Amino acid sequence: MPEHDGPDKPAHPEPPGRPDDPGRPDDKPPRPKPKPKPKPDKGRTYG
Amino acid sequence: MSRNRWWNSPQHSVEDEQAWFADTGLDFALDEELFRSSEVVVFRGNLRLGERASPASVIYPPAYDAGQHPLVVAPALDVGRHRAPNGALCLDHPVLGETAPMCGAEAVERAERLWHLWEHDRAALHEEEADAPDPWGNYVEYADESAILLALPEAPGERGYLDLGISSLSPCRGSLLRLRQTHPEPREIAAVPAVAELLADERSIEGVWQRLDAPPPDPGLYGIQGWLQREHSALLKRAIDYAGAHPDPQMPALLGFVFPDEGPERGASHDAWLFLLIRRDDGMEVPRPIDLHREDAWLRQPNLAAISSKTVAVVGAGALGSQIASLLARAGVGHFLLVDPDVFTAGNRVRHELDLTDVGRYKTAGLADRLRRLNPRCEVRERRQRLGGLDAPMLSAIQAEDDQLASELIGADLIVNSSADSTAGFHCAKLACGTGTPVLHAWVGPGAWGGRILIQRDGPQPSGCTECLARWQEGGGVEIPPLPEDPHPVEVLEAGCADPSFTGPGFELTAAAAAAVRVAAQLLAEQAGADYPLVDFDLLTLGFRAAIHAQPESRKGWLPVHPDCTICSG
Repeated sequence: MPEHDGPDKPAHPEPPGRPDDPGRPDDKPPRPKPKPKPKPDKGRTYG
Repeated sequence: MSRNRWWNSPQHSVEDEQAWFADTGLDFALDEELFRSSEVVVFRGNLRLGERASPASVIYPPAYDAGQHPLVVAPALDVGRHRAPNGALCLDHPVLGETAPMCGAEAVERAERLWHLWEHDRAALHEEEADAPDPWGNYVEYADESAILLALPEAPGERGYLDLGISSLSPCRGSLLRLRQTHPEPREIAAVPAVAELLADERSIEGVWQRLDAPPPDPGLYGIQGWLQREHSALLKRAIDYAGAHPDPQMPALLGFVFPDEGPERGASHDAWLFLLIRRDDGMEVPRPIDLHREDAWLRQPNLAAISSKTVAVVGAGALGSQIASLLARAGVGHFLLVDPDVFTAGNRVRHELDLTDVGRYKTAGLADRLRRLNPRCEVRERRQRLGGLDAPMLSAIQAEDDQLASELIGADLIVNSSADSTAGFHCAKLACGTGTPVLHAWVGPGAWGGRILIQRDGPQPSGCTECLARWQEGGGVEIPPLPEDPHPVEVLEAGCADPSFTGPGFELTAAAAAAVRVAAQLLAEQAGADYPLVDFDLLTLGFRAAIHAQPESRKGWLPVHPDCTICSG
């Protein structure tokens, strides 16, 4: 049986390390990302 | 201007962005030379999918700290319509995440995710976009001088109608540009207070004129003809000769009479004009002249005369902003700065001040014409760009153009933020902090069931901004009336990643615009020392309708600065 038909292999392999695994070294704590500004009326505003 | 850079603020820095790239293992580096020379932040590197790489730039907008996310531009990457003609990738696709990316590294991760889905799971993209229009397929590069070209499908049997609006041929109007006197002595008369509706295009027309001691006896066409032939036959012959000498045989000559007439106030006298169009075959028309005096507007609203010297900047020329600008022009505001990057579409007309003759034009261009028709003496400047955005023609010009726009905004007497884009509102608020330029924020809620007017002012007791309002709403401490809103709101997405609009009637917008203009007039009148009531609130909450009634209501209150506001804290 050809290797690519093996039962363990997903049909569409994810690229190694991305995007599900960001590749961050384990010894570094995750850096907090900037928070979005709070929007008045929950952002449901129109002009 | 450097103090206003996002990377100079306490919350953000370029080093943070570099660290986020490093933490996520992405090979992107700051373009140091561009940063030093133009203060524009761009990271360059490669998007990666397995062993493949595609060069990309991450470009940060000036309003990054206001919530505008970085663009990822990858000119060589094939992701179909998910890449704009300028190379920017569409990262707001729902399958990529619910909210906009919040840093450059996250934007790159999304871009790589988009590439992966395009290559390996295109169905996921297609399912999500089944109801969305093609973001780029309907786009036309609009310019004032461009013709409209439509590529129609060639399937046999298909047919339909096309509506084309050509604004340059309407309306029928002309301006008397120049007046020379030949008798009793030659001289140029510079200012002519007259605008006359003359021809169906904007060709110049020439002719002769004469001052009379008294009005013509009969303004009707036939009476005028007999009077002309009896008393002014020599002048009539000269006008016919003028028309005969014109290379266009259809072009008439202009015959004008100026005479004393009563008005504009009872007992006063002013120069009135009678214009006649004389053709080379002796045919004659009486066009309808308009005497346009500077004082005409003030006779009906004398307490607002002082605001004619004021400058109002309107950020967002949409349904609300266009009506606000038009009402301010009618109120006599003499100077406008209109800021909007968008083009007017046919669907906009249900709520916008413009109409079908303006379809395909920039909203600022159509609105500028509209304001000049309402007040030919008002000065209107246009800026076709998104405040704090990336509309500059060159990367190196991004910050410089935004700085230029910021200085023009701060130079205005009042900034009206009527943009649906909340980041533009944050950027407005930030620009105005500490400058003394008041900002009037105006918006409506879902379905236009209600609206708010927020006045952001400096002074001994400054009022809060839009972020302050959001923080008071979240954490309490100040009573904020609820905004009436449609419990089942529907959004309309006109094209791709355009700001979504809402379903709701235009007349509710008109009520919100009228309330905003009343407040704007109060602020301008206070600055000018005019006789009009002062504004005794910071926040006005408007209700237009509810589920079982549609009666206007309003509640006013004060809005202090919130201690945690990142805008007001500098």
